[in-house]
Amino acid sequence: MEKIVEKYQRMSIRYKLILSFLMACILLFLINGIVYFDLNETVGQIDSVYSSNLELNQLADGLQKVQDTLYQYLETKSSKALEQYYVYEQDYRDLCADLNSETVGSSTALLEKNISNISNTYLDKTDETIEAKRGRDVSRYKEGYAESQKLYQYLKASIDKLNTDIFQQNSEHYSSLRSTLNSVIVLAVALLCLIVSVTILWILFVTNSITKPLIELAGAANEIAKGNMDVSFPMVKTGDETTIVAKACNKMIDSIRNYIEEIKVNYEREAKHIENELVMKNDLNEAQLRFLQAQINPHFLFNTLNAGAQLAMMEGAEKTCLFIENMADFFRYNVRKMGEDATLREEIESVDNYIYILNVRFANEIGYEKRVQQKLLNVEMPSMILQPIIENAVNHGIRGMEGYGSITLDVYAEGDVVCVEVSDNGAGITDEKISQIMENRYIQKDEREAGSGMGVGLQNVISRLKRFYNREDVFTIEKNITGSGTTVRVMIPFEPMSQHIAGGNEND
Amino acid sequence: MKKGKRKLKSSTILVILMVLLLLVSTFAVYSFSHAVRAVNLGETRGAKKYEYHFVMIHSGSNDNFWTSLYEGAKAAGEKVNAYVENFSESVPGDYSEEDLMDMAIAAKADGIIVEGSKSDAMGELINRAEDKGITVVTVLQDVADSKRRTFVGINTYSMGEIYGNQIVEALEKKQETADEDVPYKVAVLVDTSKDTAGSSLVLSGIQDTINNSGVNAQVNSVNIEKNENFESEEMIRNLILDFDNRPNVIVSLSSVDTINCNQALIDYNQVGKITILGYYSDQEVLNGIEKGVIQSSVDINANKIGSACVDNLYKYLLKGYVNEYVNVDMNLITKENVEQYLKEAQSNKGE
Repeated sequence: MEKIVEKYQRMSIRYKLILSFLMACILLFLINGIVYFDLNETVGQIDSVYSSNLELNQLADGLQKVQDTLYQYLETKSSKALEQYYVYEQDYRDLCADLNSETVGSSTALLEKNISNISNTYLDKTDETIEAKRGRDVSRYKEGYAESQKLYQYLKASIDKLNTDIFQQNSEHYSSLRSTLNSVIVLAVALLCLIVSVTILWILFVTNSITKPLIELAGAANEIAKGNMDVSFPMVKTGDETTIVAKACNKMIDSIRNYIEEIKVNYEREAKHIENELVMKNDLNEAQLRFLQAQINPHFLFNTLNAGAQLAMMEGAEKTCLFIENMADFFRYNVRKMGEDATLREEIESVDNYIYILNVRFANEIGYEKRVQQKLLNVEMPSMILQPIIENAVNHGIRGMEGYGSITLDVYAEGDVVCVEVSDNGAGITDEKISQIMENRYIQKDEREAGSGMGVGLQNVISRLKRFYNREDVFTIEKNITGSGTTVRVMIPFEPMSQHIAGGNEND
Repeated sequence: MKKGKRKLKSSTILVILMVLLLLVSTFAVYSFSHAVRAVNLGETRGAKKYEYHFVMIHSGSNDNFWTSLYEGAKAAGEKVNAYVENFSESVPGDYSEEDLMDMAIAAKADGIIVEGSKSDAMGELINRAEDKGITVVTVLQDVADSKRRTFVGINTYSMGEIYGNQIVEALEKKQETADEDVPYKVAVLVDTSKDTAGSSLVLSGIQDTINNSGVNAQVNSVNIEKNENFESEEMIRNLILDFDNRPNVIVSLSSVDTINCNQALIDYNQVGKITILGYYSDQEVLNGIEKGVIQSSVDINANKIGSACVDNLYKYLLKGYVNEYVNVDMNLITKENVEQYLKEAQSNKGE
């Protein structure tokens, strides 16, 4: 049983449907056939009810003919009558052979037996009479005819009685058969109704079992179409095509989910990239903006400063002339390098100029020392990196300290990195501040503070370095081991072999 | 998983339902066609088959006595696998006993039980039947000089004696009031169509008993022509209404005559004036005895006679020999024991 069920479940939908409908059809056909057979049987029985009466009528006719031809022959002795007599006699014997000849406990059957036996006696007698007639034994054939006449009368009466009895019986049978037929019809209708309802139930069940998984699949598909990717297809275990579809759909939705995940990751990466670029540009813009805010028509300033330098030259004030030239160089660099990459050399020159200017301003208060490996000076780097670092060192480190403040600039190679180190012996820095700066959380307390020191903040510097080199470890701030002062280090990646190496060390 | 199980279950139920329906319908059809066939075949083919076919021929067609006798014969036949056909009933038309004999011979029955008659033709027919190998048993009326194998009946002389005693008893009661010189009249209703030997023996039995008792009585036999239909009733009425010559005692030797007498006495308000001695234990006869219309009735157990006929017939067929005479006992029904007979009759009816 279970095997059959399993086999059925593994069938394809088409065979399932065909099998179910075929089953329903066969069932209907069978029941119909049975009912038809039943009705046919009953109707056949009804038809046969009166056949026995017909047979008896034939028997009576046959008897009549025998008796008639006997009489004819005895009267005319014609050979034709004799011939006919023999024919009819045989017919009658045949008819009698069909009659019951056994002793049975039913009045009609017994009457049949009697008729059969009397008929035999009668026919023997008629034969005897015919023989007597042929032998011209007058007294014998007359006597024989009289006896056969008597037997004929008995027979006729008996056949009539039997006919009447059977007719009566048949009439009773007929009415009971009629009622049977009626109940058969009622039964048939009831049976058909029942089987039709069962068949309908069956078909409903089969179609439901086939379509239900499909509907569930469709529901899931609809849900997915609405955008709910978390829905998974129901596991259908019908074993037919629906299961295949469900499995395929589940696989499909899985791979779609994977693709979406991949695309999302890619998109995020792209977005991050774009954001990077935007931030870089933004930082640069900000630096430029701050610088532009700070300058007053630089060309006019340069020309003015040049004019001032020439005037100082003519007046013989060399120091003033140098100061003004340095100042012009510093500003020119700033203006010219706006938005462009620079070399380490140019950056250091700019720092030199800046410190000279500061020293003029603050009467040589700042000691400046630099140890630079000349071969590293051609390393490319973003512009305006070192100047803000120096500015910070001056503003937050040296300024306001007592005693002699000094700034040291070291440039050296360390592996594939060029380290540019700016250290001061100023007030130093707290660890909290360092982490705030490094994590880009440091908020300057007021505009004034922000504006001081040319305005290009350390954070801007760090950000630009990171973007430029696209790496994280480009900038460190450390407290000096001595306890006072701060060291800021910028690490510029480079490929040592490709670098143009010019000259040896130069110490100022 | 559970759902799947439930589905499987419902599908199994459906399949089982379908199979059940198929089975039920086939069964219904089978039983119906069976019923139809049974109806159509009727008793004909379903009926029991017998080894022997016995035919019973007698004169009284609708008589309770003969009906009872036939029942007895039939029941006895059942036991020995023989069917007893009541020819007087089953053969259509109004045939004489001789014609019926003729027919039974032509129908080649295995045995014939016939109520004998005094006609020569009957003797010849019995002989012819025996010649053709059909065993013949005479019942109640013998055809003594024929080839019949046995006679089953009653001792008619002792029956006469019983009647005689009853007559004496009745007349002795009347003697106290009546004139001694005038002899009492006793009428015995005799069926003329029957063998006279039987009834004459009854008559002599009656006569002898009366003579021995010393009662002064004159016994006359009244012939009743049974061959004519409805003759009996007319004659009995005439007999009773003939006030001058009517008998003091009427002895009736058939159950029909007894009933007729009973009815006539009631109809003409003559109860107690004529003593009726009846025959057989019909319901009406019993009622008559109970009410005192009929003094007594000689009861022959017809059933027993019937079965004796068949038993002896079968015995002959089986062994080739049998007693020539078989006697069956008689009982007298009086007011004292009629109760018992009525009860029996009642219970028989109930069955």
